[in-house]
Amino acid sequence: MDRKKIATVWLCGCSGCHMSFLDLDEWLFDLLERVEITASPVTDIKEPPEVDIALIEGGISNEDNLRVLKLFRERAKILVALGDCAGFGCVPMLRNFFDRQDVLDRAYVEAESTALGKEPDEEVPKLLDKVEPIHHFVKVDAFIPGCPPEASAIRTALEELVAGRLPAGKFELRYE
Amino acid sequence: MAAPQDGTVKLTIDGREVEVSRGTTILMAARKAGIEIPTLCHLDGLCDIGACRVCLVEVAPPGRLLPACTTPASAGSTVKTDTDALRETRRRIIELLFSERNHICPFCPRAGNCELQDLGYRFQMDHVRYAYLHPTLPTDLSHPHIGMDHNRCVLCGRCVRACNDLVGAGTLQVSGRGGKSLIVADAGVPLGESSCTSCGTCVQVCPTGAIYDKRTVHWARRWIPRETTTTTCPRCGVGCRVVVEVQNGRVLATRGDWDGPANGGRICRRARFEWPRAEAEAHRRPLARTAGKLEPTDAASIARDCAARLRTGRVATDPTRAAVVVSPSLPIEVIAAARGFAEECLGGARFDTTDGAFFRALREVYGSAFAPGSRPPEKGIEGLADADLVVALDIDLDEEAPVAGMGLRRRLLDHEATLIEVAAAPTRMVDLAKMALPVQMGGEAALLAAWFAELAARPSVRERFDEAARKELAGFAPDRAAARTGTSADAIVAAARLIGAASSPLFVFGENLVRSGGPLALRNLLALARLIAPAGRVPLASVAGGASSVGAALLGTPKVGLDLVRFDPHEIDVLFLFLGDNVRGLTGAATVNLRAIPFLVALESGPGDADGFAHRIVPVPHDLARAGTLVGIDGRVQTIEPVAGIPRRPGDEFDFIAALADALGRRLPFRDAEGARAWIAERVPAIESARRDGARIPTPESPADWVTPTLPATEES
Repeated sequence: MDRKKIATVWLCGCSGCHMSFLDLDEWLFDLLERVEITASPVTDIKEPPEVDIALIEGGISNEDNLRVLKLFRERAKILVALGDCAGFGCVPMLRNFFDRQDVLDRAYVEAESTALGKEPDEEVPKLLDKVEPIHHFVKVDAFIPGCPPEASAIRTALEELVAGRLPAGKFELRYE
Repeated sequence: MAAPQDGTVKLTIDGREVEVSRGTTILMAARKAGIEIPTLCHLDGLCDIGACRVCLVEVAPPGRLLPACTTPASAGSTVKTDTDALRETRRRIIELLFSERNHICPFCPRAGNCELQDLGYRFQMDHVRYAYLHPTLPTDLSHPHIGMDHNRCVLCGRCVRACNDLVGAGTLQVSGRGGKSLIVADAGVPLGESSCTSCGTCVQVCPTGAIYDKRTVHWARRWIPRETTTTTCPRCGVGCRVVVEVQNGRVLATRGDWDGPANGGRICRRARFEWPRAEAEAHRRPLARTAGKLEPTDAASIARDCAARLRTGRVATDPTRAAVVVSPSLPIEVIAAARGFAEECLGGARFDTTDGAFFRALREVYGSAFAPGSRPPEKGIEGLADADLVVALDIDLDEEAPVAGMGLRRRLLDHEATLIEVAAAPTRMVDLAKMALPVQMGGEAALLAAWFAELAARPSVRERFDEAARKELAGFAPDRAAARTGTSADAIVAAARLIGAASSPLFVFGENLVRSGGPLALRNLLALARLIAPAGRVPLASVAGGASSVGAALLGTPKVGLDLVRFDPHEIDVLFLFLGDNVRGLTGAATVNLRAIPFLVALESGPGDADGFAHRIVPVPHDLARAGTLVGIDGRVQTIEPVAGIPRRPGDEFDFIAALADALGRRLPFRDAEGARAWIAERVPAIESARRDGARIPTPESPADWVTPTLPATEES
């Protein structure tokens, strides 16, 4: 049997969802019998090939997040929002209650650790006006909520996805 | 009037035929059929407003979605409560709620304990399909205990309805329209500066993290086990049943038990915020005063010191030079222990409760109708439920019996009752009063006599009084009372007319009436009550503030009492003060007297008024850790349970008494709470039978041989 190809990425999130994925411990060996993990923060491969399943951690906060999201959407048959940032916006979304420029000034100009600071104009991707969940930009096929999702929820979802089914309703929802 | 066959309707809910009385909502009809419809803004005990739409059901006719909580069941209709379309609709409603404000569970302290979140899970909301509105809304942290974060509010209006319907405070309201509505206090002032009575019922009913207890909101962690205990709040005589949640040895929340017979889900600021707090600062060790300073010592040395004191000087031969005074907020087992200790172990020491003087005055005026083992033949506070006129005499119900005050407020707001407030200074309830009579201290007897004279002149009762009596009554003319009370004769007459016109008046009073108006005020009050209601229970409600005040009184008047306010401190050599949680505090006058006592032992759970001058301090359990029986207002018998999860510390009043009795080589009638209970049961069997039946101590109807004053009196007469 062909191993399914999986790619994962971490956008505007904290990596906690990937930590929860790694919390699956020895089950990961079982998983690797059935899938091949291509591009992922775990493998440090940046660009995904054509894959069966893409897991997206994090919401969309800057232009690069959006570019990567679209790339993954193009190359994945099934795109999954992993965690509350991808699915709801979550903690990074707190900046939506402030003006974008005020946020940049606070971080790059006013921060106590910054001398003669200025907003970067190159190398750092341009911040979007608001942080938004990924389904505001691309079609999302499945959501695994949680901050981070329980390892057991990720496992159940992956079991279903690898078997070619959508996992909605198969695990207990949790937003915290 | 509707004919009987019009009284009910039959309808079909999820294929089940249900018959309910006309006017029953679909929600309640479904519940009767065992079908649970999901709700958010509905809460049993509050009026329904159909604000959240979570309870939408399919109703035919008319064949569309209607909210189950506000739609009355109609005859012959077919209701479906759980279809795919309804589940999708409900999920969309939840998504709309999530998109409207800032509902980001991972950083909300209510996460894991939130009704909105639970609904999200229930309807499989794994993302929100609507754009977030993300309004920037204020957070009101002006109140000392209650935080209000509008960002997490779903505008269900439960807090507003609780504040109005349950509490009768009417502080919280809705301002603005639609999604821009805000919950506001008093038309938009900060909550901390508003008319809020700090009962925290809004905290209890808020389904999300919008209204919360500032102290504990960040402690709660879903994954740390919680222990829950239902007990009785001992902070006044009402006897509210309270559910206490404990996590990590600290009280996380207290909430009114919806099934509590005296409170029906309500509690006041004491049970919500003050009672749970005190545990943290409890005394940990016995203390002895040396060179003016309290220093740690041990229980055995305190017992030795007390025994030595009791064997020295005049108290050694005259036991009445020793005294034991007990807070009536303690369980009656402890009160009985203190009494047995005073009267039997100490061989006839003086004994009293801090409110003993009030009950002595009541006994004097009620005579044979208030014998030991019974309570006064009054309508009592339960009379508030059907009184159409309430006269509050020198009492602030919001302080003395707050939850009873909530019930009265509600009736006043509904115009089911009117209030006449007689007080030297207006209380918070004065805004709801029809009349407020400012009466100087000591003017109460004259006022009551004037009311009596006014009401006795009515044609219906006039012939009850002979010529001599009428002549005497003429001496209580309103203008004379006006001079004595400082309130106008017109107001006195107007109030008398209101009393005369009422079909079911009730006079409510407490310790202050006796302190301020003297025994004569009580006598005149009883005469007036008897004039209005010549038979049955008198339309009076005496409110004593201690959780066991009535229980202590049931044990009978002590042989030699001691009124802390009026005694001569030079007559006492050793005084034991059982203060427990220091609930009622000590009055200024009592403090002046107590400072003059040569040897004062205070038994208390935490810092209190006696710390500045007590010679020994004996730590006793905090009320959260106590077990026992409370017999409060209206003779309600309830138990106080030790709250699970609160750390226990060794040592209580029984241990102290036993150690001292051993040091003195004297015997005790009993040595523990169980012994106390048997001792009490022997003296007042009614307590045990009421405890078994979950009932109140029965009130005697007026006994046949009961003679009540037929005419009022004043100091001059």
